Amino acid sequence: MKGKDLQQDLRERKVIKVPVKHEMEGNHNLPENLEKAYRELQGALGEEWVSNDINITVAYARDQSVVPMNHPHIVALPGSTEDVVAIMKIANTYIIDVTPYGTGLNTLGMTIPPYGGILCDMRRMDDIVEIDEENMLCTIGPGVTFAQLQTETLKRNLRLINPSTSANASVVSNIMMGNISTLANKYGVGLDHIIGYKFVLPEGQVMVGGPAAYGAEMAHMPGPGPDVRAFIRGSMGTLGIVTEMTLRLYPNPDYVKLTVPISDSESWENIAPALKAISQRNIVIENAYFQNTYMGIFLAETNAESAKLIPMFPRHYVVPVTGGYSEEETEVKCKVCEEDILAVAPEFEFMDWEVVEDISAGRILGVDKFTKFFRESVRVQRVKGSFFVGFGLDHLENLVNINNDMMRAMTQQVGTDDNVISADMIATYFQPYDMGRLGFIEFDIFIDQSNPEDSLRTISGTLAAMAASFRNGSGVCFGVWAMIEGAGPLHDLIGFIFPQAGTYVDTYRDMKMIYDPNNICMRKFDYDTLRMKKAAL
Amino acid sequence: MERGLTKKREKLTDYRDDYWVCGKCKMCQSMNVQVFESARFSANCPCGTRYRFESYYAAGMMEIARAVTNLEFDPSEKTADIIYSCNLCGLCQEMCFPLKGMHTTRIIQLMREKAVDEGWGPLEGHKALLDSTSENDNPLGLKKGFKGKAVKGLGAKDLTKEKAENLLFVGCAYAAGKDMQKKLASMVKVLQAAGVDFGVLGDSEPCCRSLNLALGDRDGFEEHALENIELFRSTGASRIITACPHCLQVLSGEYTRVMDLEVVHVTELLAKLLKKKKLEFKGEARLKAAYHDPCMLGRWCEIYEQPRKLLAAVPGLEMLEFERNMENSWCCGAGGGVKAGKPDLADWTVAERLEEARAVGAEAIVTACPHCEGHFASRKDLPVYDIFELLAEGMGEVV
Repeated sequence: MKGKDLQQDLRERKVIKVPVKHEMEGNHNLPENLEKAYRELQGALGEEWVSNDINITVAYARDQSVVPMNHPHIVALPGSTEDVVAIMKIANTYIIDVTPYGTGLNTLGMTIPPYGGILCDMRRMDDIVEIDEENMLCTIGPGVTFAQLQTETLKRNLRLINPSTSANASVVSNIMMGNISTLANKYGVGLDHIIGYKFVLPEGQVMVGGPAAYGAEMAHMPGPGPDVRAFIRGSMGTLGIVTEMTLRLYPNPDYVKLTVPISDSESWENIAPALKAISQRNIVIENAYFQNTYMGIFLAETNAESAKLIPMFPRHYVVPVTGGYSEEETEVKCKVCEEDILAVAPEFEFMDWEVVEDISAGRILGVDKFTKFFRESVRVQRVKGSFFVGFGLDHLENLVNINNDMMRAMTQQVGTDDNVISADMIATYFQPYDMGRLGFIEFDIFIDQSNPEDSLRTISGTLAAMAASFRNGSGVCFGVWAMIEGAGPLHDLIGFIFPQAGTYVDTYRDMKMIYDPNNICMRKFDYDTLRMKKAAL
Repeated sequence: MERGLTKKREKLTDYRDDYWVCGKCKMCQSMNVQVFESARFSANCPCGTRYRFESYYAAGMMEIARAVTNLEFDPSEKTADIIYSCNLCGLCQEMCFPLKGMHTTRIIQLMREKAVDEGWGPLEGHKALLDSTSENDNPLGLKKGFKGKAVKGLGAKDLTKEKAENLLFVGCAYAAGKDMQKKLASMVKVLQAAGVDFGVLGDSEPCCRSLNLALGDRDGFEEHALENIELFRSTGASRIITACPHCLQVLSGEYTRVMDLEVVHVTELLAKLLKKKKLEFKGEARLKAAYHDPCMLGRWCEIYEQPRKLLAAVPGLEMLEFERNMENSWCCGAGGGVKAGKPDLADWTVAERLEEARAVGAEAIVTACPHCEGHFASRKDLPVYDIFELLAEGMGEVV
């Protein structure tokens, strides 16, 4: 038996499972309604931009996370705010779930629709509507990538905050997620950069947030009344879909210099104070700590080059980037940084940038990689397979302990040597935010998600790491949240992680039930029970 | 059926470790960001950029490969439509392979072979081409004898009767129609002026069958491959120089598995002669043109510099670069059988390239592939030149 006969036989004996399975429950996503919704969507958006063919839906069923695969029933590609309004109205009429999708570069399964429904791929809305040089603002559609926007802003000597994601990620999606702007300690998280937006609510109303809401053009004052801009912050598709966003830009310094303090010490207790000292001096534009592999990963163009570079770099390094209007100003800032570091962390030495260039055989692109884009060398693109991430926010001083505990949990799981994840597969970085008032930690594990053993090891290890972080009073939760829920909105788990946040969670749920009465947007918890719908694993 | 050049053929499932673990990092969906010049011309994948659904990008096609080989659904007309929308331009693999080691373009090729093997591919528009290749040994619907006419009177040696150091493999496209024959004549003039000892096979020259390969018809591709190799050997030539990049890719990438003859493109040979100062430029070509890297010559055979060096030597010629150039070059839209299978997509793709040419201030396009040239010319937009026409003009070798 071979070829088609074999396939037929395997199917008939159900040896092969068809993993296109949607949860049918209540009145959501009923087959007869899906058919009607499909036809109406085709009428509203045009046949070309709507599909329910399995050849189309399959491409949205997985990402690089270990979140279980699931297809949307329908994929829609809106080209305008009006198209998104039409999608929401149709989805509400027929009670079909809606999941937004920016460019789909996601490590947490956030764009995998757990119950199917309509997947709203925003990539057609990729206009850079305006770059206002005078006021240092830009207005963009949700399909615009960091690379596209940064390229255009740099032509005007302006820059966007450098994201902790691939240059090919959607700016709007990443900022809605929070945008961990890897090195932009001075400018805060991405959400802090939203000046205005156009947002389609679940029932199809268009909400304009920011100054444009009350007719002002450039003023950044919130209001009138409460700052409604905050409504969408971190909502990640649960309260509607962003169709346009206005963001802050910053001047691009004429001169940029990177100083590279390094240490091979086993102790890293002094790193957090060093980062804080530099941040509070307020002279750097970027500042972060990297561990183990990162420098090699950042600087190399390929995996092979990375593999060569990694052993050449020390265990710990800090990367403060200074910028100024003259070479002298930049040099002085670098010198001050070095003094600040040595005052609290005398074990550090300083690596000459020319040596870095020598080590990497001149292939590096200098500070561009830190101030413009991450691409080839960004972690999420380092490896074939999955990239699993845990991250959290806490006081900078707490991050070392949190990291130590998590690392122990991941690499030395209790009672066995079999399930150990090699330290080479894990890397940490942390950085000050908001000039050192806050610290951010990211804990990355590189796995092959097609290998079940690798996935299970990671899941059990991450659960242990999460417990370790809880012991330290933090919430390194995102990775586990992704596993449990298919990465829904953070709000679903806030009550779980922070039991004392009762009123906060209640308020969010009330808002969600008012604005999304049919619970179609990123449906994660049940309105009747007010509990999360399911644990995917 | 296994025979001919590739006795042990690769299967789609040989690449399971690629398509199962594609991380959806989307590097396959834009050119290298470190060399971006504008958001407008940052896209790299014609079919993905045109249709926008993820399935039309390499990352989506990897999911289709995974699902089809995992028997999650049966391939359909839509599956064929998607995988035959790809130009096989190779830019997704150019972005992905160095970092993540994935063979995206190869996987798409193997999906096509699976499609042909199982009968759900190629597309309707491809059938006439394959029939013509099968009946007349060319995909252009021409009766046998056109290659002999194309080289008649050019002064090239007839390798069926006499010996030469080099065999000039003309290819079907350069021999078809008066316009292309004029470009061929220019190429021959340049080679003669450079003192190259070469001959042609005329009507005995077989089709390289690169189109069969592109469409997934590996049996059709291999039907006469071993006979062809014997024919090349029998000429006594020590090297094959190809005029068309598609022939170059097939002869150097496929035939050399069992053929010991060296295969080079005409531009490679001429660039070496230029370095040795064997090319004399007595004329000029007053023109402001952008050089379009053909996918087969550039990404597939890594010939980027040689055409540029040759064009830079032409007096009067002001060469411009597309924003997307060399390994980041945007396909003209004709490749991978798209022109025949999905003409609307091919038209959209070439219109994009022409807009890019105008954006960099080009008054004309120059390239080194007859398929690209034919496709650009079909839009009747900017003038399109073959590299050999401009070289001949620069050398004062007017045809």
